Parts: sequence; structure tokens; C-alpha cells
Amino acid sequence: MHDKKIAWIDLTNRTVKSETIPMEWRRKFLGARGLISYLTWSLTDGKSDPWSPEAPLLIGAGWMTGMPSFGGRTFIGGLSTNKQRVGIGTVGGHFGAEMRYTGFDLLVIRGKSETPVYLNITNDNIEFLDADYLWGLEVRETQEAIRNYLDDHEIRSLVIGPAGENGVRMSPILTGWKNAGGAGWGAGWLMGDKKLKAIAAHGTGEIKLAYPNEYLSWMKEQQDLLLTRKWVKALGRYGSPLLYSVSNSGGWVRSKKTDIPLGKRQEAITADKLDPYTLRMAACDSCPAHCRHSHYISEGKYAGTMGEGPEYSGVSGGGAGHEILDIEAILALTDQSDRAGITVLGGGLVGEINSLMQEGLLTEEDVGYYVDWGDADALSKLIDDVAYRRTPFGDALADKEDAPKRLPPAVSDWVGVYEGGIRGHRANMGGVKSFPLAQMVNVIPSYSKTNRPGMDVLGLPEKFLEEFYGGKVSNDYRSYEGKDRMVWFHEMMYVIGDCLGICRFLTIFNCPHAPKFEEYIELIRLTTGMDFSMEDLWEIANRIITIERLTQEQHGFGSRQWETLPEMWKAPITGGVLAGDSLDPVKVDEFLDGFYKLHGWDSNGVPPKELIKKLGIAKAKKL
Amino acid sequence: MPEVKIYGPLGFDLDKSKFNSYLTVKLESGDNTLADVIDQLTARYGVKVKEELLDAEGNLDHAYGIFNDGERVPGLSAQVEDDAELVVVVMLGGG
Repeated sequence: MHDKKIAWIDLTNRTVKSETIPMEWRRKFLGARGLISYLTWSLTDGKSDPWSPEAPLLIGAGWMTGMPSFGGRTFIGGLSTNKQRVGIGTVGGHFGAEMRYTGFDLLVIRGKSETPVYLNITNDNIEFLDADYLWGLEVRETQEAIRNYLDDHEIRSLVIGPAGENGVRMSPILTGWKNAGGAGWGAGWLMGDKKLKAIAAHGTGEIKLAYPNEYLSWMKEQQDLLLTRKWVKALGRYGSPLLYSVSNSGGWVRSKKTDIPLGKRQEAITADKLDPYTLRMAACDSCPAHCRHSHYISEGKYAGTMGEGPEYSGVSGGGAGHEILDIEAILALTDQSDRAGITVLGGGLVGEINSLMQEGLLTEEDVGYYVDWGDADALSKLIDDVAYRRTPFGDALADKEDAPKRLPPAVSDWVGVYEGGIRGHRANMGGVKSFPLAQMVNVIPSYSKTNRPGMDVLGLPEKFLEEFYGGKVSNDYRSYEGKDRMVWFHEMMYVIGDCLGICRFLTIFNCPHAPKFEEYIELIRLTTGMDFSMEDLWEIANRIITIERLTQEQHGFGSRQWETLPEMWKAPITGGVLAGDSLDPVKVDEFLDGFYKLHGWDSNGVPPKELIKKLGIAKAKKL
Repeated sequence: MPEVKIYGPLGFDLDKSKFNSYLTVKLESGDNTLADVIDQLTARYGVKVKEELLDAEGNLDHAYGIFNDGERVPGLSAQVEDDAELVVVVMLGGG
């Protein structure tokens, strides 16, 4: 566990330097998101331009990725192209595990190649290969072409699709058929700007464990216990689309057309409707839950559609949000997006065109055609128009610099909202108070699960919640009471999980009985031999989040004046069980006061010098 | 008569024919509480219903949400009207 390396990769000069990750960094930042945020902050300042050759793109495997664990995530990071915050994205799949088997845990990629290039990582070695033959290929084709060219079918690759090559603002980095991360901050675009088409990895090395027998025995108990949990069984059978039946039945997610829940109309797209197309439920590396659908449509209009997913956001924000109440169309649009390397049905900007047109903020003349509610064909056309920038409107929407000039003002405003990380929720989502409040203070707005307390909707007994959170928290999702503590607590728990590579669905996002700090301490001890206390993990969590806050601050965004909510969330909800409900500005202010205090930040939301010193925060010296 | 729609694994476990669909159950009219509804479901589908929906103390298990017109049914003693349409689903964290 202690011999894994960081590789410093210079694409301009095609050089690689590597070194073992310092133990001091492990003690202070653990891995993945922690190291990525620390190095992004260290390598940038208030003048940094994400498009300069010096701008880093970081790829980090979770510290527990590649072993039996609670999922094995890979993290992608860098300076966000949107409002210059830290950009963090995460992907499932198997890339991170494979990278760890080569001996590398973290890649820091800087410079720009003049011609398309990809990295081939094997045991303790990284080589630069010509990517001319890959440039222009779709996401799946790219991965298959690499395997064929290198005659190695065990390679796992992290790639961009045509959208990333074409400089599309909402392009993620992907691996496998559908695992995508960093779309909200343009990670795919950043990779494409460096002319880096892919990172391929295949290793045969070991991950040396401190106490292998004890670890395997303990982990088996943990995984067996997880598999008895009702929510884990539900995920394994129906995946995250089942969540839509929860949020729709509870009334806190709305159709963008009607601003009320779909109600019975949800029945066309409930998770069970995926059954006829599901070949099997697949898993990411090391995950006992296996929550993703492998699907295939054999006949009809969408015959030949094959892929993985969809996830909850594809069904909810994409399908229901745009009145696409046709499960086959949702599958087909999801696959089309995944192939092109663009985020659409997961709540992306392209999908919002539909809403904007209905509101009269865009016209048929602007777009080139009409996009009606439920018009899957028009959305399909729009996906390619943007991914391949093949129409004036698609080109303008994809573009970062020219969009404000070339799009109608109202659309440019929405682009601004999108860049603030408000994705996929154009309908009023002010009903569950903790959700918009969490998004308002999210240090990584493009990564909505940074601090969302999914548990808020469970309605657990308040006595239990008080003990669990260490303070009074209401069990009514419509209440503000204790939601500052709730959001803070989840944020702190999640960041440690992100350092270890643990999937959010196997954290307290869904259930208080999921693994948390107590289990993380044992997990780290058995695998690394390093002892961490509860206090240590709380401090590490606050250190990382405070560094992410400081990265915002160095670009002028890390203070109270930027903690705002879009108007659409402040407006009263117009229908459904939550009709008339709205966010109270006084309560929002009280939330901010409490949230800052819990972090130890001042009343303006700025980390004070004393806290920075106490947390031992300082930029890395020689990089 | 009250109607219950059971989404997710429980619906499929209770009726294996419910592939590609949730399970819909129509219950007997009358002066029903949620406890009565669960008793009727148990009589029809077996003890699995109570094993899933109730915790070790016999209270509603928080792992499940039972909704009536968007409102969570608070407990076993809650009245269930004859025209109610209950939704039963495993509670997954909000999206």
C-alpha cells in the first residue's frame, strides 16, 4: 500500500517523472480526492488559466480501489473551467483498479501535445503513443481500438469522445460503456485541449496489505452485512432508477413541464420497466451491490441499442424532466450521449434547451428546429449538433467563450446557472430543504453528491438523528432545523469516502447503517497498517474541504456573497403535495451561519488563519 | 377499496409473475389502519410481507416508505381510507 507512485507527466515534452507518494501526504490527505484537491490548490493561483499548458489534469485512484471494498472509484480533478473552482469528477468501472496494479495511484498531467496522443501505462512504466488512429472515434470504439492495437484485451482506458475533442463544455471523461465524470466542469474538454485522447492501463502488480488474512475476513463480514440491507438488495435488483419511484411518490421531484410530480404518469418509466431489456446487473470494481443495468433493445425503433444504465438522473432529470415517458427512448438517448462523450439526460445543459424553448426563451429559429416536450427525436438531433458542433446553435451552446455573445440573453443566463453547478433540476427543487441548501454551499458545485444528505428523506426518529449527528436535527425534510449540521456531517463523511474510493451509494447517502468513519478506520488499519482516530478523520475531512474552499477563494468565489440560490428554487412550488412551499431567506441565512460555524470558518464563510494553521494547511513546496 | 402498489424487489418477491411491472393489490374495504392493510397483504402473500415491512419490534421499518398521495404514512395506526392508493417502496436517499 505504501509503494504506490505519483507520476508527473509533461505532454509538451513527453516526459514522465515518478516518485512514491509521500507518507506525509497520506497522513494528511489519504488519497484520490484529498490528494487531487491538495495538488490542484498547490499548483494553481488566482491567475491560473485552465487552458494554459501548466494547468493540471489529475487522475487518482481511491486508496482502497482495486481490493475488496465498498466500490472502487477513480477521481478526476483539476481547475474547473467554470468559475475557476476545484473541479472534481468521479467514475466507477475498473480503470482505477487497473491503474493501481501498474504501481501508480495518481497522475498529474500538464502541458499540451501538438498532435493527438495517449498514455499507455504498464507495470511501473508510462509511454506516449500516437493517437491519430483514435482521434474522432466514439467512446466505446476508442477503448476497443486501443485493445486491438496493443493486442491486450485486459486493458482498461479512460477516454474522451468526439465531444471532448471538439471542445464541448459539457463533456466528461469516460471509461467502460457509461462511467462518466467531470462533465459539469468540462473535464473532457480539458483533456481534449491537451490533445490527450486516452489513458490506457494494464498492470499485473500487487497491492500489498498490512494484515491480509484479517482484512479479508473482516471485509467479507462487512460485505455480507451490506448484502442483507434492504436498500442494497434493491439497488442490486433495480439499480438507482428505483429511486425515482421514491422521489416521485414522496412528491419532491417534479416534471419541468408541470412543476408537479408525475404521479401515476411515472408508471411508464419505473425501474421495473427496464426488465425486458436487462441482460444482467453489472458491478464496478470490488462492489458487492452491482447496481447497473446492462441493457439491449432487440427490436423496434431503437433496435440495436446496447449499453449500461440508465441511472436515476437519466430517468428523472432526463426522462421525466422532459416528458420522455418512454423507457426505450431514454435508453437510446443515454447510449447516444455515452458514445459521443457528452452529458445529456443526466441533467446536462443540452436537455435544458427543451425547457427554455417551452418557456419562450428560445425559438425554433434560434435552434433550427422545434424541440417539443417528449420529443426524443429532436433531443437526439440536438445531442449530435452539440457533440459534433455541427449547427450554429449546437456550436454556440458547446462553446465556452462565445456562448454569451451568440446565444439569446436568457439562455446565456441559464448557462451561468449551469456553470454554477445547478444541473438537471430546472424544476423547483426547494421542497426538500437540505438539498438546495447543500448545493448552495457545495465546494464542488459540478459534483452534486459532494454534500447532499440523501438520508433527509428517510424520516428517521429524531432521537436517533440527534445521536447520529451529534445535535438536534428535524426528521421532516420540509424543516430547516438542524439541516446545517446534517449537510456538514454528510459533507465530512463523503470526502473521506472519496479519498478511499468508496461509492456514494455505499455510504450514509442512503442509510445510517452504511459504512462510516468507524469502518473506514478499520479498513485503513487492516490494509495499510496505519492507525487513524475518529478525530484524525474529522480533521482530514475539514482540511480537504477547507483547501477546496481556499481554491475558490483564491479566484474570488469562496465567501458568503457567492452562496446564492437560483431564482427558480426560491419561487413557491406551484403544485403537488408541496404546493406553496418556498425557501425562506431568513432561514437560508441562519443555515449559512450554522454551516460556517461547524467548519470553523468566519461569518463571511472564509477560513480564518488560525484554522488554516491548526489544520496544517500549506501549499506543497516543490512540484 | 384501498389499492397498494409495491415497487422494487418486494413486489417481485411476492409475485414472480410481476416481471416488467410493480405489484398492484386491491384490498377489502372497511375501517382499515395501515396495520390492517399489512395484515391483509400478509394473509394473501405470506409472512414475507411483515418480515420486510416491519422491524424487530414490530414497528414500520424505516427502510421502506409507504406513501399516500405524496404524504408518508406515519405509522401502523394511521387510517387508510377506502379510496387510498398506497405506494410501498424501499427508501433510497434523495436524488
